[in-house]
Amino acid sequence: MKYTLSIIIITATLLASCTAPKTEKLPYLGKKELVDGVEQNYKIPQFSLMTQDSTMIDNKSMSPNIYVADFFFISCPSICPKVKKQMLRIYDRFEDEPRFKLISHTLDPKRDTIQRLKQYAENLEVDHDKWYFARTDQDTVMDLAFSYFVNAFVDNEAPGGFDHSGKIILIDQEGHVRGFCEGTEPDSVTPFMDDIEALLDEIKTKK
Amino acid sequence: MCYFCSCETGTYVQGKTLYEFHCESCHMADGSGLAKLIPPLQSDYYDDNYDKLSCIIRNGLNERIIVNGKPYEQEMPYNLGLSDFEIVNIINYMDNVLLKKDRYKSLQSVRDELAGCSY
Repeated sequence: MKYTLSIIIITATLLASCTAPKTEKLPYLGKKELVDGVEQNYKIPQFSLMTQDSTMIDNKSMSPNIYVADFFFISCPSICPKVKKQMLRIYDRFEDEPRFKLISHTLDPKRDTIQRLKQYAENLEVDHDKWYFARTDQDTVMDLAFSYFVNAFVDNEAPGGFDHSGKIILIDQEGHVRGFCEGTEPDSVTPFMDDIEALLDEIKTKK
Repeated sequence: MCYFCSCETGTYVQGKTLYEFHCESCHMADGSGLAKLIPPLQSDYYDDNYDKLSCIIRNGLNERIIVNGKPYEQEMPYNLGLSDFEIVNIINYMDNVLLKKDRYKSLQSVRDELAGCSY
């Protein structure tokens, strides 16, 4: 009787460890594209942005790293502070991870000058070489938001003049979209941080 | 016969709903604020300005203030649409639920404060 019981337990444990692999590879999100007849995963298009330090970042400078991106504006009275709180939570958890960065894009380049972005970053008390506050012209940032699957519109009736979603997007070292969460919902950010961890493991094993 | 069913199911119900709608996106659900951008409710500033809270909630704040030793400069928006009664409920919700102060502000004291707002 004892034997049978222990055999059942051992078999069950083995089965469980087989059927539930611990690290599942994150999916590639977005529509696949045909390039020269070969199907390729969706990539964030070319960008070139100025940061709070007046330095430029682009796809190439980001490429050894994975990063998360969000869209906001400083005078935003609605969801932005909540999303920033969650971005800060992500920053705190991966602060010591050299291949992890964050980009917050301003949707309001007219009011959010480089100087104001710098002040904002300093008030958040974050490292300027880890978390970029990026600025470009109005049309470019709107297009860029769409390319990250973030809805953003100029809307004079919305609080602060812009209507936008609070999604936080995870991008891998090749520019593919690998995950997202709702920055306004702390509960959705918790599993998202595990996704970041998984992606970091993925690029470490690739190296 | 159900006398009590229709009544509120918890305390500070209206205050909570109003806080969520008007205050939470900046001051956060737990009142913790955001780094050096948005001050926390739990602070010396809150206690020292307890008799000005009604004015601050209704008219906003656009001056540099020191909260728990740190400077804050971001403007707080006004809420001109809130009634005196709604302001009382927000303050009592913050005080009792978020800050666990166990004190109660009356409608009359809010009205007196609002009558004397300096701006």
